[in-house]
Amino acid sequence: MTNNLSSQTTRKNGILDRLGHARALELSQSVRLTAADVVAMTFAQMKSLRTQGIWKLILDTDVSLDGENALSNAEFLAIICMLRDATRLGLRVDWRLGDVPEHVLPHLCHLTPPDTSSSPDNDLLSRPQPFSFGQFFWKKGPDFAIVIDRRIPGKNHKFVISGEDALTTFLRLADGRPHIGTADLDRESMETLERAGIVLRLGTRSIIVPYRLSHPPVPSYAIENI
Amino acid sequence: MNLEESGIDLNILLVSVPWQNLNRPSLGLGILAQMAKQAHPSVNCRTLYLNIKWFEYLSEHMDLTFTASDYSDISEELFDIGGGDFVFSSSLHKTDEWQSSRYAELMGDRGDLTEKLMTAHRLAPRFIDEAADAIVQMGFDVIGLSSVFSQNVACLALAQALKDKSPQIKIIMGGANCDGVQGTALHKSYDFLDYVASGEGESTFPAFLDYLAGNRPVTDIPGLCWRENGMSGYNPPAPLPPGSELVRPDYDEYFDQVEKSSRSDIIRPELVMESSRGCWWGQKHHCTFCGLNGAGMAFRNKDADTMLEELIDLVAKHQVLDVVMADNIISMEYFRSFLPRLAERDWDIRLHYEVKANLKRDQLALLRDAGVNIIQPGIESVSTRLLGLMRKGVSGPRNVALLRDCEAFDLTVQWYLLTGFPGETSDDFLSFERYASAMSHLQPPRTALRISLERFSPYFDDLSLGFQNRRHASHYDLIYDLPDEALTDIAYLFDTDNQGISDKKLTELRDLIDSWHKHYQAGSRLTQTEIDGETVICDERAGWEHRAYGLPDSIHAYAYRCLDQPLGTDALLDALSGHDPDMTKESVLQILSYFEENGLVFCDDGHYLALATLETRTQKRMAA
Ligand code: SF4
Repeated sequence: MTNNLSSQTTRKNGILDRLGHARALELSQSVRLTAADVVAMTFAQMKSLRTQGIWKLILDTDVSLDGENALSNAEFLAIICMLRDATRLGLRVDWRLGDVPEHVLPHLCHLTPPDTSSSPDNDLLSRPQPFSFGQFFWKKGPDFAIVIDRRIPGKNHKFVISGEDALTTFLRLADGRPHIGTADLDRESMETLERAGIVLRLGTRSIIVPYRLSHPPVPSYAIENI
Repeated sequence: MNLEESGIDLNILLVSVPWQNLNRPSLGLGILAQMAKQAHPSVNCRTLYLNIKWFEYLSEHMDLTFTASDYSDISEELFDIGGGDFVFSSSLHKTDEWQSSRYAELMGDRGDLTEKLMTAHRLAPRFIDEAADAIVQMGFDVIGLSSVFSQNVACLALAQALKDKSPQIKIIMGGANCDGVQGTALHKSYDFLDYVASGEGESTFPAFLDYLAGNRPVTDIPGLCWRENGMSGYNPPAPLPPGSELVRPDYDEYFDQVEKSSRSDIIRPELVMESSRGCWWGQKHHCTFCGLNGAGMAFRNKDADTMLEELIDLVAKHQVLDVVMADNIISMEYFRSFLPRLAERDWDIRLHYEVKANLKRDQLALLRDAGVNIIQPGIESVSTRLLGLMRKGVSGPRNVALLRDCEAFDLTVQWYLLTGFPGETSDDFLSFERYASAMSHLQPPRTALRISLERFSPYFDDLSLGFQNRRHASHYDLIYDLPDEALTDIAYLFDTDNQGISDKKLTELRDLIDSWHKHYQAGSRLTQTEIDGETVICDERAGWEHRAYGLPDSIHAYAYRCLDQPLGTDALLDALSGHDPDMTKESVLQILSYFEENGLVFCDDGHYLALATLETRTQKRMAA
């Protein structure tokens, strides 16, 4: 995957003449990814794409959990992690939503939205409000984390996660890739996080659903204080 | 101070009256609370956030239609006509309808805010009466009132009600509204104020506690107005405390009271901290219109270790990551000390800082990495000539460079376009008008404002600068019932003859800013990217043809790179001659005219600046 990415971001020579400025610009600022690429990609790699001037990721696969093109739980959760971190970094993702069980959809509606042109029926129809930055995120402070959930219009749920067990569990789950197993997690904290819709668990893998909000986009007063 | 020996228990209540910002604890009272705690355990000092109670009261009596934004509109948007002070004038004068119709006239058409303000005006006497009853019941000996911005009349009304109910309670009022002659005038005009403190609290407050304990004469408390046996006196202020003596605030009671508030659901607490006082720029070149700082212009900052420790402690204690720095201007030393260390922390803090406008890219990057999200750089104008009249020490194109670079670094910039300077003409806004549409990818000013004549500003102190005729602003006549001389001393804002552009021109500028806002919000972008060694411009500004194109040749590309910083034509010719010895002034002008036609540059006072941002603003692109 690393080779694939680096070849995509360095293979630019001569493209202005071949493709024209608009297309060349778009190509030089976007990267195409397979499900396998996403599974292998780390957060640090995503961040470095951003600093190389990449602003768009194009996902080559439908994001489905059912049907003939169903992804494995591992692939599906890795892709949700990628969408979550892309939202955090301000990267746009061209992606299509396939068949996803009803109970999973609310975990996706704060993420950079899917392309609806090719699959209009499969837009996140259950989305309670149009996508905007700052609907479901978390922030890290000294010895605590705060999760803000504003996915339902007019509601502003704030969860403060502190105390060693809860915070360690949360930060382990928030660490980039889907977390495998629960042996190193505090059971009680895990259950609370799941009940609050902060954790999505499929099989043995779990992820933190909200993205981390490290530096809000301009103008930052568009996102209310927490 | 020697309270221990005196064996006297002191019960002091500090009160934060309306219209203190609901989301922010009072920095002044937080500092006093901390000093009282440090003084001695025999000092029982509590803080009451009466502003939160007032908000609850208004919500309850207006069936929850009174919102947090109504509250901040009255306190902030109506500050220049004394909206917040007017509300409590009914209580001060013990008349529900005090000057209602004349004040409604002054307000003009402000939609339902007028009605809400008038309802608040009618409710204020009962609220103050009930609050005074409750405070008297608490049994405090001394009440400390802090008055900044729109808090004067609420302080006075409460002080009067407390004295009516319990004449033995001692009342002290302080805060920026009591600076200098304002403090003595308030003390002389209202005999229910036992004491008025002027200047910074670090030297006055401990001495005042000492005096209350009987260990010091009243004449020995710096910056205090006092009354004794029918006599009133004023002690000169102490020298300003150095940065090392600035006290960290204690906000425990604010957070406690927010948590217990019936409106806690809509209060979003932020921390207010200060890393410095005064202004290092104003110390050298006081901006002509600026009335901040009173007598405290001398710049003093806390050392980086102390500041970092305070920040860590307060953020951890209150679990709040939104922090507003009250500084007038960030210390340049902090770019070497405080900010790099803050940037090392893996936290998602959101800091708001006031800065000087001529910051370089690496300094902006450091601000962002340290968690600064919002900056207030005092841009005020994009006209070099007007900025010279203001003594801002920065050029118009330099200000635009800051806007451009903040766009690339995701830094939110708060700024207003200021007008109304003596010597200003419509021509001073030509570059603003001409290039507003080319700048639609940069953050617009909030609006255009005519400056007010503020006490303590050079325009106020020096008649020769142009504002010869002045009188306290007319709203003071409707709010207070005092002779002219007293009002002149109490007032912070003054009416004067309009200077500079006409009101019609001001409206035109506001309209232009409105359309800039619309274009900016539509996701306007103008970026430059290097591909294959060629500079590719991507233009997605509202009102411009959306396209990606290359600059015509390498000399255009080089010229554009040179204009990363503002350059005049001669300087640009010099720079380009190094690249191409055949360059002439004529060819430079042709290059500039290409940039002009394509909206790629800003120009003022013969200096050009490239407008395309260097990095892609990906988040904005996504949001759009
Ligand atoms: S306007 Fe800002 S920079 Fe100028 S003197 Fe006032 S505080 Fe200082």
